[in-house]
Amino acid sequence: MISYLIFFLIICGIYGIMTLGLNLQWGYTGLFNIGVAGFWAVGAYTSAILTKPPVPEHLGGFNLPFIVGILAAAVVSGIIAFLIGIPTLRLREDYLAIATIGIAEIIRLIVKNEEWLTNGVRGISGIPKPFHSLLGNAYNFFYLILVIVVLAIIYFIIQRGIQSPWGRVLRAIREDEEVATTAGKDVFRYRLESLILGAMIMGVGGAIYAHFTSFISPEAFKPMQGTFLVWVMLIIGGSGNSLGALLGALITWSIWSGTEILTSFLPSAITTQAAAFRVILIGVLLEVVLLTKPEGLLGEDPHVSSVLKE
Amino acid sequence: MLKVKEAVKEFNGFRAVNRCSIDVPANKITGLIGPNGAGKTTLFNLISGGLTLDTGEVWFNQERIDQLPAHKIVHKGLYRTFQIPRALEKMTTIENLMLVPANQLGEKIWNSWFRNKQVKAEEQKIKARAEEVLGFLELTHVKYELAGNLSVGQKKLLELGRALMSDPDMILLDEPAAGVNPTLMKKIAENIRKLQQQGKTFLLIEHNMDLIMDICDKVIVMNNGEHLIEGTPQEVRNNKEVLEAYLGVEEGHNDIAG
Ligand SMILES: Nc1ncnc2c1ncn2[C@@H]1O[C@H](COP(=O)(O)OP(=O)(O)OP(=O)(O)O)[C@@H](O)[C@H]1O
Ligand SMILES: [Mg+2]
Repeated sequence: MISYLIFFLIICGIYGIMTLGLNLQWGYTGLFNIGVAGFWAVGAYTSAILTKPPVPEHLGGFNLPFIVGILAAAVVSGIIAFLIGIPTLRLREDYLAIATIGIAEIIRLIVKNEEWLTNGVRGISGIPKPFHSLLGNAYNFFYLILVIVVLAIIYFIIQRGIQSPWGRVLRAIREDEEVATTAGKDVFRYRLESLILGAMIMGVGGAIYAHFTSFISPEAFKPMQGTFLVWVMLIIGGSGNSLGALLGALITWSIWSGTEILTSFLPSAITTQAAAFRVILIGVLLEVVLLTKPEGLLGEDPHVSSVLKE
Repeated sequence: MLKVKEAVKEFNGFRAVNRCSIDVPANKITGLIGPNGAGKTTLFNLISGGLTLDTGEVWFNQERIDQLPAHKIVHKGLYRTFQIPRALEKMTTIENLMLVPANQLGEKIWNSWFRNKQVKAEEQKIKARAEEVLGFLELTHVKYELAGNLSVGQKKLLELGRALMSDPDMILLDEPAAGVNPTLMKKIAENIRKLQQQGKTFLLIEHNMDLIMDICDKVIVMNNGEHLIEGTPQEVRNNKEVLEAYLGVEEGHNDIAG
């Protein structure tokens, strides 16, 4: 039971990293990124390829330390966000949406088909688990601590930024970009920074995920679990509130994985219907929250600037 | 100080601004008047970079600015307000003002991580300045209110407040007194003059002729997108063409006749 709880919290934490990244982009800046799964995959594969021992099937085997993998995941995700942002962030916001969902699908196809790079549908296995041999049975507990530390660092990075004038400009852009421009702010620069930082965070989340499961394949980065669920978490928890984003991850994942356990007791004949039923259930949950608390469980803190909290 | 040369702007074939040239002298308050739809706000948008010119030029302090992105024009010292007030609705009133000052240390995210002390010290200064402006505009009681909850009149003041926060050389005001109570309007007029005495330049769109007569050194009249005439407030007031322009658009609009 305890071991399941630890496993559950680790997955929640990984989703929490994703929701924090998305909250920066959407909650604070109004950037409509519907390609979260793409950054997730990029982070996971980058770190996997860099840290694995050499194998003949696919690129990689650089045997680099875990920490290098994590940082590289952030950098590569950030570069991809930069390349998406340059042509789209000066245009109307729907262009970013189209670009992000498109790139996420392209990334999934590359991962699926470019076997020399990613081993295709067979996926990459044997991704190193840091300190695994040392820790043995206590491993997941250690990993949970690691996830919490990473979450805390990311939380700090975001909150400091949001509570400062940088975050104020982001929120102003979200509210009315013309006012931000009239106030002399370079809207494009801030949007780009927010998109990149958010994507880097998602890349880190992807890497943390890869080293936990030790196996990744294109299946893991479908839009349903990789993007849609992250959005649901953010909206339920409270867009524009980092704690809300984390709470949303916890609640939504509880329901999602809880129903998975329930449906596993059902006769196998109706398991496909049951899977669809879970999606509907999440949809209903979303609906209920939107109707009763449109701002999410924890709405935005109007006094987020640190100087206003005397 | 500000020169617009032969500005033209069309919307789907309709010329909102038609070969309009204006010259705004430094350290003066210049009024820009004209009937509804004359193209005054559109001209502001062309000057501030919110819209791009079809043809023509805009010069500010001997420098051509009509090719610059809007945010860079602000950095040259030219600030504009909106006729229909635009508040950052989900931000508090005070933050609507604190946004404005240029080159804030904390606008670089790494400074918020590594130089948090300095960022906070600067924030305190900006906050104090914003409180001053709120006090002047009599908005102190809604300091921590979300700007979306303010009345239209209060949002109008907030619009003016942002201009005051930016401390520019020149301010373009688009109907700052519309919907503001008369006492406060007087106060705003006084403050505009005080700022002018401190060396600031104003270009002021206004339908309230009392305000125009009261504070303007020079008045420019626009009609049908064109520069009609200009002169002292007295000259403009007694001009027949101006009267006709107003009467032609709106029967009984007798603001101008005083
Ligand atoms: N974005 C736009 N698209 C189409 N037409 C526009 C646009 N902006 C302004 N116009 C038209 O251009 C003309 C000039 O409008 P403008 O707002 O500049 O007038 P104004 O002098 O500021 O009037 P008012 O005193 O009523 O504010 C009007 O006929 C208006 O309908
Ligand atoms: Mg107007």
